[in-house]
Amino acid sequence: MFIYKPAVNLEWKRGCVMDFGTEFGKKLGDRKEYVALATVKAELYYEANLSIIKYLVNTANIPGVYVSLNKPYEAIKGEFEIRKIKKDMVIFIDAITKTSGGAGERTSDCLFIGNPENLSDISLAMDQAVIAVPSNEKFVFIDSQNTLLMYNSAVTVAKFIHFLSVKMRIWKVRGIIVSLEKESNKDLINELSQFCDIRMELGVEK
Amino acid sequence: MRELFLVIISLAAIMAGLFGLMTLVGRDIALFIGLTSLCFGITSLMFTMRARSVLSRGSSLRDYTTSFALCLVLILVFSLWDTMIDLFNWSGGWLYPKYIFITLAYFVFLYTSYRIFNLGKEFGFKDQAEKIRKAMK
Repeated sequence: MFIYKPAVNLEWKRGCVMDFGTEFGKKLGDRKEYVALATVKAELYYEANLSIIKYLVNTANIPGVYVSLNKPYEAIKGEFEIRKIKKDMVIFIDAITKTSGGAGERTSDCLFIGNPENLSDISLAMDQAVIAVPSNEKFVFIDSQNTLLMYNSAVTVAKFIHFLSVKMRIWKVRGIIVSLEKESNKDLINELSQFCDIRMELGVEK
Repeated sequence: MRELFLVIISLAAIMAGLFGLMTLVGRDIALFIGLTSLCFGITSLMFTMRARSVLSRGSSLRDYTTSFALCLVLILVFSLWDTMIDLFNWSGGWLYPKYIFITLAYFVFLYTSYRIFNLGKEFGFKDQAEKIRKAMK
């Protein structure tokens, strides 16, 4: 089995970057239900993702759903093991493995969707997964909005995020939508911000 | 409140439609039932096709909707044929196609049920829910 092991210099970098999980927790305070749009610089993106998940799962002890549109489940699983993130607390929805010809055999903790264009199946899977999580407090993590843009038009993505933000409020979850900070998608991010309760720029000291 | 109003309006429209149909066909109960079934069938098919048109291409839900629409089409053809038998007093060999349509409809229903069974397996997270419960203790 292939397990992703980060390079030594990446491990060194990890020691230097800020703790996004704590930063994330501080910015949200005592809120228990929200829809947050987290923008992060490209070079810090993966670090930020894992840090937020680690904060939610290990520190806050909240189970949830991780929707991966970027990295295959196998790679994320490996990274979770390395960072000692409690994998059993998370249901994965992987919408990328099958696009690269991966087998994507259904496992107990991961459902593989055809591709990020398949928004109907993604929302159906999210609905089922969120309802299945046996806790009053749960999170939904979407990684990331930018990949959706590669497979769908900006209007479709905006509509989908709007739909998800409404669903997240109905589900009463902590919803986190991650987006890369890019000049090209500033308009879309501004538009998406109106659907979210909080917009946070991670890795920026204020 | 708005929903209730819509339901009342829809029910009134259905009742008006049924009354109109009754006036049109007179005392022929079999024909009345046939035409009513056709109207409901066409409306169901329209809803299904509208749903299908907005679902993502290649999604499991869209595939399921397609199978369901095919079931509806076959049931609709069966109803149509049955109504024609009443209308034109067909007999003999003309009666058999309706049995073929209804048999085909049940075959497609079987296939559609199998699809929903697979959808349940694919989208169900019962095992992981149990793992989460244990992990949270």
